[in-house]
Amino acid sequence: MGPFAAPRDPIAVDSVALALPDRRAIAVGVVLAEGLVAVPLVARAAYGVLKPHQVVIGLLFTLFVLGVVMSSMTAAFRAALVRTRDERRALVAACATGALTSAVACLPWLPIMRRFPTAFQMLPGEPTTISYFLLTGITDSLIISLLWAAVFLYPSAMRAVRDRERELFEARTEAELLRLRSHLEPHFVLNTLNAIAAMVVDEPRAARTMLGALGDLFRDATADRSSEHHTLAREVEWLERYAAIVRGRFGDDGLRFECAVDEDARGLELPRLLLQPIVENAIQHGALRRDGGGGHVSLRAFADGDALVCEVRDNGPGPSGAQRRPGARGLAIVERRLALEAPGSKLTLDPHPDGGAIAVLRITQRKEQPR
Amino acid sequence: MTAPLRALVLEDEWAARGYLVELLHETGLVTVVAAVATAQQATEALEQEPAHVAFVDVSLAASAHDDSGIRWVRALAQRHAPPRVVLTTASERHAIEAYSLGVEDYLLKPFTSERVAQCAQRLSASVRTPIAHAPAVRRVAARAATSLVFLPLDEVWAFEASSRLTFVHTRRGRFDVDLSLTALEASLGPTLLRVHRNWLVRPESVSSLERANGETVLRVGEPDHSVEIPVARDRAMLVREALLDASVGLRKG
Repeated sequence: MGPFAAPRDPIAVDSVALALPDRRAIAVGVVLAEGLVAVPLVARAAYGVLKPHQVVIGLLFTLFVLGVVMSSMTAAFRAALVRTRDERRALVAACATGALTSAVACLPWLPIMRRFPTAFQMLPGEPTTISYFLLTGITDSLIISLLWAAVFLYPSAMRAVRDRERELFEARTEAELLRLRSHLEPHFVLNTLNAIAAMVVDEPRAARTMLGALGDLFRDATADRSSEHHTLAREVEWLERYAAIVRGRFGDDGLRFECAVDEDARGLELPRLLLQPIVENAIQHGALRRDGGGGHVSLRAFADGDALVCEVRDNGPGPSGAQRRPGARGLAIVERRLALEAPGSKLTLDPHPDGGAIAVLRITQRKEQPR
Repeated sequence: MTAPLRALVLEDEWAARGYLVELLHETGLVTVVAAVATAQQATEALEQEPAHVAFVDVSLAASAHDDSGIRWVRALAQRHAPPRVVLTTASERHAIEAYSLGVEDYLLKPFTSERVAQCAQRLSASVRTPIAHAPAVRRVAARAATSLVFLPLDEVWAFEASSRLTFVHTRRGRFDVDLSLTALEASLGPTLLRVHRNWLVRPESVSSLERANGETVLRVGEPDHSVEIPVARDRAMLVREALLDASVGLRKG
């Protein structure tokens, strides 16, 4: 499920540190805490310090208070998170709520406390006024509140933060990919339009052909598709159209473009138009930079194990520092797209032993279906 | 300046080169004395045909260096009395960089006749000094392989086009030309006759006109070295009249 699959509150309300829905987590928390409280009570009863009925009262009391405190803290925490989207403030609100509700939860027990002071482990001479109970209720509950916050609320908050960060990261990646993908350089389009304008009078048929080819490229490059991968066969179609335009602009003897694709590689998938910057690089910085024309770019593609390998060769002057400059963004874009869309893939650009340059792209095939 | 400005065009794309030459000549303010595809040829051309202004494509591809258009412009500054420079570019980003180079102006691609006309007008208004030692005779820039050759117009017999290759036929032989016939027509003006889609002829060099089987054929050049030129049927009449107008002897009709 991607970040844009369905609108939802980025603060996930249903996930919990204990991987349980809130109610169940509270139930588990109460039971565990109750267990912790029960141990000293039972120990005292074993020594005869407490009578069984006093143990029962103590257990009931703590059960009640724990339930009230934990529920109210959780509710307060959630509400504060949704409203302020600040985990720290939500935790503070939760603890404050815990303190208050525990004090309030003690109040109904006041008459029972007066009747059975020992069960509540009250000291002789301890006051039994309301204000005293409230105060001690608050102070005594602090430890419960803090424990509950630490064990349950805080991890839950951290999970919410992580979720939000992941959503943000995915959204940014999606935006970046969109930016990287619509990669028909304005420079290319404008120069092609200029060539078409030039040909309109003298070579109208060629002008129409170039207009059609440019339209096809543009349509493909900006299409909104469900999958951002396509087969190598489609990619090669696009590249051949692209090369035809460049040939039309520079003259047939300026550039030759050849593709040799293995049959078993035709159906393999790669991110759309991933090869375009590489081929453009080979043309602009390779084949067209030969003094005296005769530039040649060739694409060879084959399957190698679970990877698709594409080699783009040109007979230009060979790779230079110029191709890695900030101005020549093409290869950097390819590398970035590889990192985002086909992790585990690799791009290299080296001089070819027979002259010119060779770029080798190794794309690890994805195992699962595209989203 | 009342005489047209002399201009050099440096543009590596065939179609764009001819287009700019046509548009510049349309303005009536500029004469393109040389249109070349590489920075090296541009330097040579300037030696032979000094120019007031150079139109330079900022992103020349056909060279081993990146940005060779810009490099060439920088090198120009070393010359004595360098031409003014107008950069041609697809993106305005280069225009910003351009001002640091001291160029006169920039022309955005795709070119339009309005933009080119405005640029030519601005140049005309600001360029005042005539060029000393400019050749008086109109010459055509041609190529033998990669080196340039400048041919006086009166040595030209005809221009021939074959898809995107253009040749010039002269007594000295056949040379390559880096412009389309239309661009040549635009720059050399009414002195030439477009007798065929693929042929542009200088009337003075026509030695005979023959009709056979409804086809008209011209002959140019010298008896021992002549070139046969087909005339398009729909232009045959016009061509005949134009040639007769320019000569004496025969009655028309």
